[in-house]
Amino acid sequence: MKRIVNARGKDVFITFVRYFLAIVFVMFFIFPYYWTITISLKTRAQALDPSTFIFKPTLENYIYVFTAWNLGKYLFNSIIVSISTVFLSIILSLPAAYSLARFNFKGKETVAFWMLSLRMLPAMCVVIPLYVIFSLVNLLDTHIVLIIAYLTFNVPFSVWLLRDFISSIPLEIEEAALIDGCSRFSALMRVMLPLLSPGLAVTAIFCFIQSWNEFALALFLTGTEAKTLPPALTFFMTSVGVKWGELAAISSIVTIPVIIFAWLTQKYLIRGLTFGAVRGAH
Amino acid sequence: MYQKEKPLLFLLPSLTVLVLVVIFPTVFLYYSSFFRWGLGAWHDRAFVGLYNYYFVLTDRFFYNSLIITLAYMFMCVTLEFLFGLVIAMTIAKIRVRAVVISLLLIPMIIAPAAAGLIWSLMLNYTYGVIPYILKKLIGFSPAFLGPDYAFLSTVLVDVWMWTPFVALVILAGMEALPREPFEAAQLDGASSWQIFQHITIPLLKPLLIFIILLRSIDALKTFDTIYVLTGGGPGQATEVLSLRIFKTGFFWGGYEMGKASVIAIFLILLSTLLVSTFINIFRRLIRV
Repeated sequence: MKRIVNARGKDVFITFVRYFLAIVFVMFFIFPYYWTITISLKTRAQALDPSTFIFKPTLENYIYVFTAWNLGKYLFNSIIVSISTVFLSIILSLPAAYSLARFNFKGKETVAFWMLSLRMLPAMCVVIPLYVIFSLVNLLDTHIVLIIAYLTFNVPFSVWLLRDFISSIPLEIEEAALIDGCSRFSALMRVMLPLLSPGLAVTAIFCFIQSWNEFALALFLTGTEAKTLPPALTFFMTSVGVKWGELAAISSIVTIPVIIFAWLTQKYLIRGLTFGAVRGAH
Repeated sequence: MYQKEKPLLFLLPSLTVLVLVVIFPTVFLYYSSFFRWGLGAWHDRAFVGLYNYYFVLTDRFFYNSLIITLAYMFMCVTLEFLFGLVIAMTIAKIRVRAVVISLLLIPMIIAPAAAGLIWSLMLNYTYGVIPYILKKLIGFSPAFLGPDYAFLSTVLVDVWMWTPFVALVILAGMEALPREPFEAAQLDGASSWQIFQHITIPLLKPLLIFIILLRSIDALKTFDTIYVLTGGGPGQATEVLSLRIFKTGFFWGGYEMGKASVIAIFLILLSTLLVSTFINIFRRLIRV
């Protein structure tokens, strides 16, 4: 069979198959999300009718979840908890990450990998003891309980990722600052910190996304007061029956900020999700 | 130029916090497995020795959950791996790749609870769009969330969420490979399939094992998507270990936290097994 090739010497048929498959894959992974967004923009009757593909969008579901369902409260809880835990995690992790990246000491890798292994504990195993401990100190259903509980995965993750970012800054730059008469502290502040700021931003965004999306701990450790958006979603699911438009609206409110953040850090996404083992393709 | 005590001083804040929020609770979990106690009633506990262990190990629902968990892990990871490999190969040489990637990363980044909700709307037998399309096209649709298909539906959600991730990791790995072996093989007249089979795959092997283990660890501890999509049901059809812990401890009257702790301990043991293998591979991958 004669191959048909284009101007750049590539097989036209294979290129066609490649693009066709790519479109099919993208459709499969995007369609459910796209469909949910459209449900959130439909009226109540349209939302339950899967044959409606073309319709006049309305924002009534969004208005309804904020007025009738008090979604603002859960949104506020999510924002408070996520931002606080990000700050706390970074402050706690930065010195450790620096130590593991720059110092040489016995057992260094063991400590680092031990921390990484903590990141992988199943949430359902941590939730039982945390529930008891926090009920004994009367902290259940507060922002504090979630901020602390989220440190269980955010601190190991931040240490690991920041260590990777610090290691990729050449040691010579830091040494040059020291030789030029900077103190260790001012070398860190004036030379390292600016160079590390992209890494800090990426780590912060990752911790934010993980905390924002977290479900199991929030479901069990909070009640009605400090509940964040993901467990609130299931709370509404069981209590409202088939009000799909509203549920879809909450889904998009939960997911849109995260998607924007992910696009901002797209270059680092794979690096973050693989704990720095894989530098991302882009 | 560095003093000896400093590294530990730097590590102290985060280590202290981790001991308090992870190690102490885990020790407590082991301790609590020897008592019969209820949710919010730790003060009212009764020492029962190894009874909780005996109960769980002779409970057929525990073995049912164990089998479902392993089957879930196996199916999710296999499908994600094969499907991910195909996608990575497909989009490797596409020109608008940045756009494709930014669309593909949506499933892996959204809240798993939202993913569960999205699919429960999609798969709903009466109002969902997928049964609707199937009924139009082939005249009938399986009850995706019914007893026969619920398990496969939970797998579908995980595959939807994580296949793009596997694909992007493989893609990144392929790009980091050295060019010379490929050029040499092409000069020697190897076919694309031969190159793939004898060069790409062997060179990628550590990374492929890495990603398979990473996905297995995550699949093992899945809770949120299944909780939202099926709640472990119908019956026990999708009751993975995490769901079993939840039902045992928090659901049925909430007086069996001791038994829930035992199941949690088994889950930790399983995950430790995977995590230690994973860390060995990880160390080899980044060569430390």
